[in-house]
Amino acid sequence: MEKIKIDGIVDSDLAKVLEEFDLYSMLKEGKLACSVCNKLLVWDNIGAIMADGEELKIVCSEIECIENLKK
Amino acid sequence: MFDKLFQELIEKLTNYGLPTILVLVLVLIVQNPERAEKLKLLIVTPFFKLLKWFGRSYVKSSLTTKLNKFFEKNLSDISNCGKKSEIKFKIDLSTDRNDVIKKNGKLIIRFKETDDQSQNLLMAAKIALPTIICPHIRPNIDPYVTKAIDLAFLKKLADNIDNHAKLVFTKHFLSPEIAEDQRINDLLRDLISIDRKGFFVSIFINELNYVGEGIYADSDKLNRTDEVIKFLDFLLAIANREVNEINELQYSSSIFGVGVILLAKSDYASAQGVNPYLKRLRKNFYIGCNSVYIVAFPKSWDFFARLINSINKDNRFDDPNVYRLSENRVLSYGSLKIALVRFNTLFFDTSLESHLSESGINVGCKITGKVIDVSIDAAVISFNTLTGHVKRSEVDWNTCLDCRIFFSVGSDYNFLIKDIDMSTGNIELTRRFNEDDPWIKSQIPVEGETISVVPTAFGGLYLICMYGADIEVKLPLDELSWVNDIDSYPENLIGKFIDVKVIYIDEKNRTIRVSKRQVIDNPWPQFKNLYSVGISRTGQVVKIEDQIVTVEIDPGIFGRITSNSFRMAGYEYENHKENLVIGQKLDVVVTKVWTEKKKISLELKRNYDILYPSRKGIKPVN
Repeated sequence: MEKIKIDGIVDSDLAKVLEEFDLYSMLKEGKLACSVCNKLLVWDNIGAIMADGEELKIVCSEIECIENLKK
Repeated sequence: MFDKLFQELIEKLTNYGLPTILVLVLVLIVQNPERAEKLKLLIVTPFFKLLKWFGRSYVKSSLTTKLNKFFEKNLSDISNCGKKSEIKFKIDLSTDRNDVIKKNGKLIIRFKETDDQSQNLLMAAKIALPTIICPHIRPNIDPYVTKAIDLAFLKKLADNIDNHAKLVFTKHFLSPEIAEDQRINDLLRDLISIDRKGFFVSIFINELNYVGEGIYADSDKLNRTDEVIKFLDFLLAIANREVNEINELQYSSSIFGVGVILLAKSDYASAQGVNPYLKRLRKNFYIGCNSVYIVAFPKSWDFFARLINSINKDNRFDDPNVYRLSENRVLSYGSLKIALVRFNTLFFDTSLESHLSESGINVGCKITGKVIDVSIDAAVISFNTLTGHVKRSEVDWNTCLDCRIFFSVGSDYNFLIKDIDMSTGNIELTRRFNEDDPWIKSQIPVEGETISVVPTAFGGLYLICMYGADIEVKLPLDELSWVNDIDSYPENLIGKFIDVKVIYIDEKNRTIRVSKRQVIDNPWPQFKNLYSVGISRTGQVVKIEDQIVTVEIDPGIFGRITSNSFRMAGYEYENHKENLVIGQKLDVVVTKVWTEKKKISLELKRNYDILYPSRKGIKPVN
């Protein structure tokens, strides 16, 4: 049997994680951009996140950006 | 019935209470752990929908349950080296900063906590697909092809959810991709087209997975996009073929070797049996196919089962390291059943020749085999882990009209190996043993000799008769009688001793033809004198047909009246088919004797004077 693991985060935990990374207020102020396409990030268009050491990369919900972050 | 069961269940629950329910639930979960996730979803859904509680559990259970269900249904047929692959999803949710940091470098998808989980589901599937669907061949094909393949799967998933999911698929997954590259749209259309015919997962994806493993093993870095597109075109042509359209049923390239066998005509199949298909299957492998897909349409499902049974009995297709066919390995897609057959590579390595030599099997040797399939024209025999076939003409020294009369499936019989075709792998068997040859064992009659035979069966244009215990002779139907007398009707002769004259012997083909009528001299030259034109008789109707009525004018002597005569006579004769009866007496006059054709033409007496005024004065009955 092959197990496919998918990592995810639900909305309530995402808000908490952004807060812990001190990014939530920046998001509210419109100071965050997609790590791939540089589009302005708002709460509704966050697609995925990825830890890069102590930093957090955030991408928008465009398929292309999520796939690029994965690569 | 259900009411009763339900009542009993309620009674038991009332008697034993909560512990019973818990034990029952535990048993169900132990039996199938996936039920735990389903149960969890069942419990948390109302809380989430009403109060937005248990968001994490709702998302996790909802995604896991639906993804497992979809992939179980759609991918359980994709096999990896004959082992059924089972894919199970696990959703690992991060809850805080430490969790996220622990997953350093790993993509963490944001799952929205909404009632409708379509977008989350499609996104999770989209992320997982590259590791599930033909992962090894992806580096060798252009990204637009892999995107189209993934979209085809996502579309299937969206179609399985609801109309809202279809909209989500179009807006968030399809539109952004096709806006970027129009080729994705064209390719997706073709993939959907083969999916409607059941060829997408069962053949296209299956084969890409198989070929991908080879590519991976060979560290092949070449771009294979063209070959994949051509393979898709090949399947598309078969999937969209019109009735009676002839398609190419083999596709080969440097990486693909695929054959397709279509089973549709059950009438042909019932007469010929599975042997022609086994031959074609072997031929496919001998010319280089790695996979042969047998596609069965509903009318041929019974025959399909017979074919699979025969394939399973042949070691050349049967090895634990490659596909092993059985009923539960048959892929069902709507109105189609598709089976994948791969050659036993171990057998291929040793080759048929050495296998036969090791087993001491060669032309002329005697074997015992089990009948695994039988039809009118042939039977398939399993022996020494191989299969061979015996044709109807080789079942016995004498005529076999139907192999099913001689053989019963599952029984053992002795055979001789008649021929082995190494180039196609066909092994032909016979039951014509030399020691049973009636032409050697028994006394053969000579031409001109009168012998006594017993007709046993119809053989088309002749009667099959037995001379003595085992010599078969053929009596052509036109050699039965000089006249069309009832005693010589073939159905009246079966099982009775009759005298016949041997008129032809072909030793090479072991054929003897006899004549019943030639036992006596041809009476027709005499009939010309006996039945001169104008002679009248009161005859008896013996046969009524649309155009001809046959009348016996003297014992064993028959004449014919055409339907025109009855129409001309009018009155009660007008509609002769309705009004005449067998045995009815008719006054007739001879109008012509055809010595060569061996026929006597008659006319109704009441018409004769009108039609032949110059011959007035009918000769009286002698």
